This record gives sequence, structure tokens and C-alpha cells, in this order.
Amino acid sequence: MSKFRRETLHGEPIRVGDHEIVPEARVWSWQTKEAVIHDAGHVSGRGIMIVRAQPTALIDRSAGAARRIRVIDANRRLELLLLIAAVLLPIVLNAAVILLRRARLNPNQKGMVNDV
Amino acid sequence: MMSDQTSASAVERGVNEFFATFERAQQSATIEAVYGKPVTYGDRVILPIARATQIFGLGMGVGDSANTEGKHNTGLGGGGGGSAGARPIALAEITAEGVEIHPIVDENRALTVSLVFAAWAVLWTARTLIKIFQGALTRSDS
Repeated sequence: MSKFRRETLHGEPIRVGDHEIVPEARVWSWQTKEAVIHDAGHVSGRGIMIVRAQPTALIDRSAGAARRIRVIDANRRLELLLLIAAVLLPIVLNAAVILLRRARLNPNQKGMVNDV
Repeated sequence: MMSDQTSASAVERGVNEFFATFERAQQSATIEAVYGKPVTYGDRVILPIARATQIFGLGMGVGDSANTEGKHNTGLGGGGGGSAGARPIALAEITAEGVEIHPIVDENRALTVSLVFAAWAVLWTARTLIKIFQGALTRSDS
């Protein structure tokens, strides 16, 4: 039996001056578990669970208005950026090689580099 | 008869405990795992912010056997492993003027990731240059 759950949680408000700050987080969990009844009263079970909790924003309530201040994970952002660059780099370089090869095959084509 | 009931309840207890472990883990993912206790420092409040992850797996088995005298022996065994961790990602500074979030950069992690990317980039650039110059050499030879 597998179960995926995602929910948004809100913490206790923090009051500083006119500001009321409400922390907000997103929790997602995935679990799979099973129990099997074998013959002669033998039962076995196994399961895996992953729980991840991450902050999403701080909600600033002041003067009758609410403002969401996003919490950004700088490390994760850098990792994601480098991951995208790492995926794009071979594609771009391979495309460059293909274009150069085509340019060599058609040296008279206008606008192509033909001396590489 | 009595021993049958005892073994049945042991099996039931084992299975219930197994499922209860997952429920407890599910309930442990609260907002307190992400936002630490606010610290008041002068006229400002500092709120630590982290990302929390928990992974675990477990297995169990309950067995029941009767010996030659008709007595039931029940055995319960299990094992598991897991990992739980939290990584600080920012500090929120709350003052009467508003909220300011100061990101926490894990320099070691950032450096490691950057070095891995640099090695990957060098590898692909070298491969591309070799392809280009090999092609050029082949062409000049012919």
C-alpha cells in the first residue's frame, strides 16, 4: 500500500511591533508498507517512508494587509542552476560540432565558418 | 486454547506496532522541524529556518510454532535503518519595520558542486575541441 501526502502547515504567529509573522512550510511524505499473513500464523511486514519538510514563506500581516515573503534556499538554487547548465552544456557543444561539420560539407554556404 | 490466544495477540501486537511506527514518523514532520524557536535579541526576533528530511525502512516478522508437547512458541523479530537530517537554509530577522531573510550558504557544499561542474565542463569542452580539430586535421590531410 503506497501513500503520498502533501500538505501546507502554518506555525504559531510571531508578533513584533505591528507585524504578525506566520511561518509556512510544505511537508510531503511518501510511504509504502505491507504486511503479509503466511500460513501457520506467520506474519511478515516491510515498509519504506520518506518525509521531507521545507519552508515556503513567512506571511507578514500588518496594517490589515498580508504579504508573503518567500524563503529561498540559496544552496538549492545554485545546485539547480549548475544541474541545468550541466545538462545544457553537452547539448550546446554537440550542436556546435554538428553545425561546424555541416559548414565544412557546404563551404560555399553563406554565413558559415568554412576554415575550421 | 490459551496459548493460541497469546500467540494471536503477539502477532496482532507486532503488526500494530509495525503500522504505528509509520504513523509516528508521519506525525513527526511538523512545522517545528522547519522553523526553530524564535530568539529575541534586543528589539528584533531571529527565526532559524531549515529543511528537514527523514528516510527510513523497516521489516518485521512474527512466527508461531507448536512443539511436540503442543506448546506454542511465538517469535517476533525485526530490523530497520534510516536517516534523518536538517540543513539550515536561512535566518529571518523580524523587526518592527518588517522581515528580512538572510540566506545561509553552505560554502563547502557550493564549492564541491562548483568543482564537479567545472570538471564536467572541462571534460565536455576538451571532447568538443578534440572533435573539431580531429575533423580539421582529417580534412587538411585529404
